[in-house]
Amino acid sequence: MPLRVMDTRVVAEVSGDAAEVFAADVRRAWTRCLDDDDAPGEPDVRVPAVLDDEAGLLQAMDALSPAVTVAAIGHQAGQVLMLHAAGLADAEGRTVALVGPSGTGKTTASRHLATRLGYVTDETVAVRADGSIAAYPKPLSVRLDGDVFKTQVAVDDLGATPERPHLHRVVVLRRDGAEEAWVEDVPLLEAMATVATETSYLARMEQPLHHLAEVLEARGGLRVLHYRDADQLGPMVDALLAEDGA
Amino acid sequence: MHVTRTPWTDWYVDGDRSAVFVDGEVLVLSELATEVLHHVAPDAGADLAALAEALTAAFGAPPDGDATAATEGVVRELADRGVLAVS
Repeated sequence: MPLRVMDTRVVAEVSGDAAEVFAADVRRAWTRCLDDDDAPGEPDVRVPAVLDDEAGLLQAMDALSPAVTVAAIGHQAGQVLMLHAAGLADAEGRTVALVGPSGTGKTTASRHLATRLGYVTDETVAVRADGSIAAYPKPLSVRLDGDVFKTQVAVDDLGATPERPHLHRVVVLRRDGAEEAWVEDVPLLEAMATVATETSYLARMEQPLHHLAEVLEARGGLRVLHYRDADQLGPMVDALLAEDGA
Repeated sequence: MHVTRTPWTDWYVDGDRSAVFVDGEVLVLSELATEVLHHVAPDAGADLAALAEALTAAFGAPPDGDATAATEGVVRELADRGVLAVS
């Protein structure tokens, strides 16, 4: 099952007694990442995906998502700046990266905002040297009530992934219960230290701090969005997208 | 005491302060620590006495007058964080 994620051709090698069921579910959930079966050349990375019993489908799908992510970021190490972030874009492809570790609301924010903005990713915003983004419109991984494993929700209903997304603003999500949502500007050095903890393979890039400083300064620096509910994010993200530059 | 740089991944200076990327972590350095790093040559390093002189020239003498002890305190803190090595 060929997937195209973050400029990387990942082949999920689906096998096992329930391979057909598994493959059908990958096709259902990973719609925006499916690559051409006949694409020429060797895949960049292969990921084993085994399912012998249909009863284990939810678990297998839950495991596939991080496996694909790890494979792709490993392949791109040192090539692109990889932010642990959700990416939401306007019609022109201007993308706001909502940075945050797992559990800080990236997927919830994506579900909420991508009803009217373009969905770029809920996992990793991969920024090329020219500021364009290698999209990763994976399924949303959502833990439903009572489930141990996350359900992989297809993103068909979310806003279209722009053809050429590019990084416009970088913000950190801080769901700290602020009744009145507010925006905090972060000084450059502290911004670099904050963002660095939410990157993959930053040390593999050439002069990584200089690159990070350049990326942040060209995007108006780093802001922290303090909020309580995802519906507070809409106006803040709209305001960021309306800002000039980058 | 002789002071040398450890193999940093990168060092970025912003005005009087800086950030250093070492052991997979980005540390934000104060004006004092940044000044120390400016005077530790990439290969040759620096002696503590020369660093104390440089810091005194930049910031004046410390309140207790013991520039060497004050400088050693900063250097040891940076060494504890993996930014410098002392011998």
